[in-house]
Amino acid sequence: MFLRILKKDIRRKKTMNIILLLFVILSAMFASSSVNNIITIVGGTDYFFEQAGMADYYFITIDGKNGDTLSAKLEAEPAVNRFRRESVLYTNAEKITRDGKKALEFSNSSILLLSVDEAKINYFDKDNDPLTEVPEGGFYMSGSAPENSGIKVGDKLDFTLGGTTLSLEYKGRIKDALLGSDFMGSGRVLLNANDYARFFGDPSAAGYRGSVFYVDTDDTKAVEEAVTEDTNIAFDGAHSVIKMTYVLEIITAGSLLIVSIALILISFVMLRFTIGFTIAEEFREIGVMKAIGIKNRHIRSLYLAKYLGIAVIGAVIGYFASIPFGALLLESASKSMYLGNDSTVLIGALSSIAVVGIIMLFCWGCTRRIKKLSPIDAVRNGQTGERFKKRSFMNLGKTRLPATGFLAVNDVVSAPKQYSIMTVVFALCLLLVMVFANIANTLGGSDKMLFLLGNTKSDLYYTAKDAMDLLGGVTTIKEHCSGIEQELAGLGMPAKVHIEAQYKVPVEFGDTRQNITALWSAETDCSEYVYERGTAPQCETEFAATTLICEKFGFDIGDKVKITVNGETKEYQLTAVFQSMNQLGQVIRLHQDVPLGDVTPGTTFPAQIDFDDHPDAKTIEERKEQLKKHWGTDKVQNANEFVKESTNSADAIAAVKNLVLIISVLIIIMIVVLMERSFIAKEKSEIALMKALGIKDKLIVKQHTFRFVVVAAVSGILSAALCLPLTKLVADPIFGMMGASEGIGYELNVPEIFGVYPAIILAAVIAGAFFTALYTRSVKASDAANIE
Amino acid sequence: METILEVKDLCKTYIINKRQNNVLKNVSFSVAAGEMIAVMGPSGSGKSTLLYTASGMDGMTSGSVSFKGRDISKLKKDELSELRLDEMGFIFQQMYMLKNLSLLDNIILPAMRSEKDHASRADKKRRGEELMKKLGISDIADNDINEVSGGQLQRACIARSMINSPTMIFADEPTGALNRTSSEEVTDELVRLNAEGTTILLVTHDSHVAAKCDRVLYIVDGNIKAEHTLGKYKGPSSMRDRERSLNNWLMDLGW
Repeated sequence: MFLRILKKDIRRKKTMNIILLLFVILSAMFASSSVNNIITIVGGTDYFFEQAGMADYYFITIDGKNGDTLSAKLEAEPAVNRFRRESVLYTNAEKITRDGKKALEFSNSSILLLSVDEAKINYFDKDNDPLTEVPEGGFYMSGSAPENSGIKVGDKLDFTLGGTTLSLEYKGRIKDALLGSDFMGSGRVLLNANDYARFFGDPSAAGYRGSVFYVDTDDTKAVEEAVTEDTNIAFDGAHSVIKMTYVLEIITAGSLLIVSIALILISFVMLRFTIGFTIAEEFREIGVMKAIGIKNRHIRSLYLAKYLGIAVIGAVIGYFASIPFGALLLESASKSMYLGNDSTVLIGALSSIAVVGIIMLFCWGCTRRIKKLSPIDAVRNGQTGERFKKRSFMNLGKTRLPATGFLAVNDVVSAPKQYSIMTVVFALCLLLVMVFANIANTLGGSDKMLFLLGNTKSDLYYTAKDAMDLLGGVTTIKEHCSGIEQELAGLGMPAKVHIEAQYKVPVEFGDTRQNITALWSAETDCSEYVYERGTAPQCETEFAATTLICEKFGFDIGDKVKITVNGETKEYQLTAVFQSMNQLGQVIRLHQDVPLGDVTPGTTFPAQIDFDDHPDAKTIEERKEQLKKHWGTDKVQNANEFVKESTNSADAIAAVKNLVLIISVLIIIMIVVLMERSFIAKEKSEIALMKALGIKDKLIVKQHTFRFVVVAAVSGILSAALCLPLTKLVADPIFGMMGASEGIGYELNVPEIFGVYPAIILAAVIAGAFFTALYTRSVKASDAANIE
Repeated sequence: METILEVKDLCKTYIINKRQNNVLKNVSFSVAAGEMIAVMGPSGSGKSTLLYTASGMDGMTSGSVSFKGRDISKLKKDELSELRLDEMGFIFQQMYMLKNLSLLDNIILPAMRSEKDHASRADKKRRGEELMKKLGISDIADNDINEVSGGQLQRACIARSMINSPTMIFADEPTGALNRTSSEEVTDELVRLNAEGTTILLVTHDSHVAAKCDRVLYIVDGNIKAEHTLGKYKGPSSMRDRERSLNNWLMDLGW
């Protein structure tokens, strides 16, 4: 008997049952893929590093003609358990060409060439298979540069080092745990041993030799101190520092984590609502069953059996749909990382089972009301019953709204619970997009970022083809800048040129002694930079440090610190604290009078050009184009372009934002379609009545659509109000990881944030609601006479 | 007298489970302006279908229905909507109303949508209030539909059907869900409306209600089997004779 009632119910209430099934599918799909992604993301870098066989501490040295000076020190250091060394050759993007032109849009300073036979860690291809062979004449490369430069697998590029040029075919991207993050500042090219030997054997390329050390140790501090005086070291960092270079991937993955949590929340909120909604629809039948004496537990078990069936079918379909959906979500984060977990199937299955469990809990809660209702309460079903609470809050006679608008707004305010759930869901989707847009805009060229990168604002930023010579000690910064100034004067655009440089200097305070990166520029007065606290260094013996350095050494403003500059150790007084995203926030700034002009820097920023005639923005752009042609390079940039390229993450965050936007739009459309479809099923009698009274189809469609517009508008206002606080809440920890530990001011693009995105969401809502509301046309006026 | 509604050879067929069900078979009748006609017949005889098909609310299979000289089978969906909004009023057995609106708002909603006259919103609201006053329900104007009795609700439905001053009211068992007292009140309102010139076609099972009508059509198996003319209702004093006459006629028909 019950089986027959069930069968009949499923057939007769096809629409509502299908809607519920779709929500279960969505919930299971979101839950399975999201839980898997959360586990994958949380253990992301650890899993990658473990698979790659990484160490505890890393050094990258420029050996040049001096040869390897570090191996002996590491061998002698008792704190070192073991170390591995890869022999590499340095090059840069200017020396990799196609058809005689620079082939790679590579903002970073150096590219390391490595023979695959010399590899001391595991490198992975795009399918996460370890790369053990590179065919002769081919190369693999880490990072996004080839992809961003339009290089495809099979393209041939010319590599020149010293007097040797080889034409090599691009075989694909590698996942390199040490240098694979764009934030690391270097790229890696894997070559066949024979090709590598050709470069290595060229005596004119000897100056470009270097090493990468992977050190296993239990005492990283001891290792750091043991090699403090080694001048070959271009980069050193502990495991945790390397992990932090994946901050961009962590941001991307973290944003997916937020999206995943939001998806789970959204799906359960909608599921809870739909179950409550469908059970409310059944009250009349529940009343009839109670009236004829069927026991509560039998009625309850009938509905629980029905929802169990729907939940199980939905969860199974949702689980299978979660596999491609999860992969799609992870795709953007897994290009440079080997992401994964070992229990995907189990976790997915458990998540789907959890969805079934939660649905049954919801049903148990909703069907509890069956017990409380008297048969007559249930039979009345709210249609004419006297015991239901007040519904109308507005008056058609008093409003200035047109009738359609009034009906829509009145419907919304009369059922605040169901519409507020939708408002929260829409606002959540919109806020996700807004937050990512704010982060992308901030990273994508704000002046605030310029200071965080350690630079001041200039008219143009130029990376010369021979900039590598500064690092090799061939020319000094002063000579380099004078050369550019002379050229500019010759072109009729006299300018001051200066370069921000980074030097490794030993810093000692109390018991702590470490090599720290110092920022310095001979031509920029320290007062031109932005500080969080204190006053800019006024003389040679004063310096500024970041919050993170202060915390690391335990000093503060006023303290005197021993710093060794150019072999001379002196006491310097800390006068200011600032924030920086250089070296993930672990830098100091030395006064411009510190004599570093003749010292070879570890890294340099582009040459900053400030024209003497202070031209307007249009003239600067014209000169930029003129200089690009003159120098035959694209590396002449304005401030925005420089910031965008330096942070190298704005595009990735923008890509995440676009993904979130697409997912949000799809979710909103799905919710709108399913909700509107359930409203039509629930309000069939009212629709028929309105038609019977002579109200035209198009006005009913308009009313139904307008209800969602009201919800979207309210969610838009809510999102606008919460946009900045939420951006701070989400992004401050991210920028903190990048070095800006005290938070930053965010770039708010008002037309984009408060115009474009709400408009896109509104368009999605209108489209979803309108096309679904057209279904009201299938309800006939005569149905008013046949309503249950 | 002017013919308001003319039904000729009206057929309505439903296909249920591939089986053809002829609900109306060549039904013909006409309604003159100012008439009040009852349609009676056993359950499933096609009374309600006749009402909804004749009012254009439901489509017909064949035949023709002419309302004030316009063939409604040739009207487009929107034109039919306009016709229902401006020229017809509907009363259902169940007191269907929009749940989120107060009684007054439910009543004036069709007026707010109508472009028949160019009255202001305030005038339309006033008209609704006047109708409610006339029907004795002005004190519950701002109440929700779940805060009033069935009789009050049905009177509100009558007020709604009257709001655009229709030419004709179609009522499907308007007293079917009411108790005797409420039923009496609602029937009297309909009689009063008819006396004021509104044409009424109503379906009823109640011979007491039908006895107050000018004419009664008896429908069996989708055909009008007989017709009984009672003439204009002259007040309670004439009811005994009218009921006796009607009941005798119905008994002859096997009622």
